[in-house]
Amino acid sequence: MDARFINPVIDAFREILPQLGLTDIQKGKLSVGTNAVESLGVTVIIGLTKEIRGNVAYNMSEQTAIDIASTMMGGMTINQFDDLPQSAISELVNMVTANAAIRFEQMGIKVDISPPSLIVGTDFRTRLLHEKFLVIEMLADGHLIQLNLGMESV
Amino acid sequence: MRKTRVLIVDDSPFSQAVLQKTLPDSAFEICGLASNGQEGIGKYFVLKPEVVIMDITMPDMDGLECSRQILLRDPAARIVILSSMKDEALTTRARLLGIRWFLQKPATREDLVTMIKMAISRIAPDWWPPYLEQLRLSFEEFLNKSLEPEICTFSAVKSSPPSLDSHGICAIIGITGAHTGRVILDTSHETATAFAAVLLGRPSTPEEALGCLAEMANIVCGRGISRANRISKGLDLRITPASLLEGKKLMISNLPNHYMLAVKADTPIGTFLMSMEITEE
Repeated sequence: MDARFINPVIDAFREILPQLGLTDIQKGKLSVGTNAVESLGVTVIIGLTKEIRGNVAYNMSEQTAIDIASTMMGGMTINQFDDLPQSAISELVNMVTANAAIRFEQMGIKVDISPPSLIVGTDFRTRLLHEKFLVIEMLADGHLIQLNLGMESV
Repeated sequence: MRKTRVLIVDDSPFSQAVLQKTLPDSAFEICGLASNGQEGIGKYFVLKPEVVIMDITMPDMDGLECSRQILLRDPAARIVILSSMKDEALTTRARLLGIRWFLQKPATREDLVTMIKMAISRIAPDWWPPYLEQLRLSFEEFLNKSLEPEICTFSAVKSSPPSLDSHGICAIIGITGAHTGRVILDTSHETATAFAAVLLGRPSTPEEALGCLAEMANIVCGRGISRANRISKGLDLRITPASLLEGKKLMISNLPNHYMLAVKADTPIGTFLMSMEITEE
């Protein structure tokens, strides 16, 4: 996968999450994943077309999703990961990916993104564009969000 | 339950009598009989039946011409051809008119009921963007073609729960362009494995079953969306590569503020579900 795809996604994450109330953003480990993304509990998938095609899976635990959604909603207490926090997390993924798409556009690469699909469950995995994909671990206020990029230039 | 109203257009009193005897039950009623094409057209627009059973050979015009004239004024008409003649030239002519339900006489009641249900299940809700009908047709064509001569039954899934509870594996394909959305193709491991075996002509591995579902989603969406782009210029709809999900328990949340239509396919090897969600604009 093209190394140029990495920074726009990380920069988008760094720009958007503070706007949603998460102040401390750290980049963690970078690695290559193979076969499938094992879900941590909540996986949000977004598809890409035009000059980059592929898919990105944002992966986090349900507790992380609840904590982040709570921060996004001004510290509201959330007991269950139901409609409201789910739509908050989908929105976060949509904003980060749309911001990354704008950054690609500034690099002269046109990208369109699909709406995010949010999946919850136990013991499930997601296969992306290719068998190998890039895994970026990001920490937002100490919460782990794993970004899995399966992308290729067209 | 309200009965489905059926109009019969057939010049043979014998055929009319057989249908009158066999078809009506708690689900179907015959609302009218016509003995030639002209009468068929007239009665269609007066009686407004949900389904027409149409013979081909008739004295004044053939059943396909009669269907063409009905479809010209009501493109949503659902017509099932029931004819003693069935060859490629006739089925091609029918298909070009948009008629895909074709049975040869003598047909069993079961065949006829299946065909009528298939025709009915294609009645799209008023809000559904007509071009997306192409996605659904593409799904049905793919399964019918892959599994023929077996019969697949398609039905619209009416209820809309807040999330889709997967049967085990599913492919998600995103849609971008003038309308954004997604298509989910869902089935069980067993059905996907059996389907891959049908396509490969030999037993399949779980890995091949996943690949088969991804390719099916890609072909169904690719064909459906290409046709949609041809029908409605300027949509510039595109599909994203498939993401494949598998697991013990997984639920996919519905997209908020999207219209949804789900179609269930009951096939001899198991059930497939296709859910389509799309923004209005």
